[in-house]
Amino acid sequence: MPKILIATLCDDVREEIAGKVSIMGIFNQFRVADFRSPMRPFWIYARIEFENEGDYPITVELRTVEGQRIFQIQSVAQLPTIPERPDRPSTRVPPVADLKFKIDNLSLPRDGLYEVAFFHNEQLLQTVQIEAVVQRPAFVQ
Amino acid sequence: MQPIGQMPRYSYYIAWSPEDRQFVATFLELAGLSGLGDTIAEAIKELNEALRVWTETAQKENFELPEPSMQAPCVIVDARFMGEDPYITELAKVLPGEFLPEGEVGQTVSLSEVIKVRQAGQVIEL
Repeated sequence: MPKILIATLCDDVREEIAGKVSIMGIFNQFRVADFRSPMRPFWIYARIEFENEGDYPITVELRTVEGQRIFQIQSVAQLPTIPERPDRPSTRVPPVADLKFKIDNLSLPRDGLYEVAFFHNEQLLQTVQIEAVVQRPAFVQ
Repeated sequence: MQPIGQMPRYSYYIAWSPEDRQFVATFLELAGLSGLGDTIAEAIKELNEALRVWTETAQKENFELPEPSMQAPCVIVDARFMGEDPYITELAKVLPGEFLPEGEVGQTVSLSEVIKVRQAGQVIEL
């Protein structure tokens, strides 16, 4: 059974040449000035641990906590088998896959609680809750 | 021919197809349609052409298309194979293995090794 190690919404995800990942601007609240307008871009990032290498279907869904689906993505986490090399030490760390989705131009129907849900073969792995709140304009005298 | 303005404005999902070695664009609301392309723009153009044909078929065959799920089309990009500018900075990730010497797919190659290959007269398309 895949295990979610990290799952978050953030402003940006950057991958370094050496394979390290930097997650910038983690948040758990959408501040929306006008629900008729699209929000600024954001990212969904997840690091998932698997028992073995292979291709694993992963579904990511954004929905209200009441269950109204906003969108659903069908993705595949790919963990290629890395050929062993005598000059490299073998590792016993379980293989992991990173999922990174950039969401642009999303509009939400209303304020309230939402969640990002991760599934593998229709089995729920984890949810991340996020709240959409109305961003009131700053009061200027 | 269906005018573009009368077609439903669905949201896009852009990913990379390792089998086709091309970008693949689908609609979130109508996952059965897809478009392939060497660039994201090409994939989206092909997808919209598929939607145009499908919309005409729906009118002829009298079946309903799903309603767009959002007020404005949302664009979701599977960014595992892309950087901010895939064609300049991250092309090796967009086309994994494409730039590695024969038999070295899946392994890292240092810059000095690339230079050696170039000096040996082998062409690496960038």
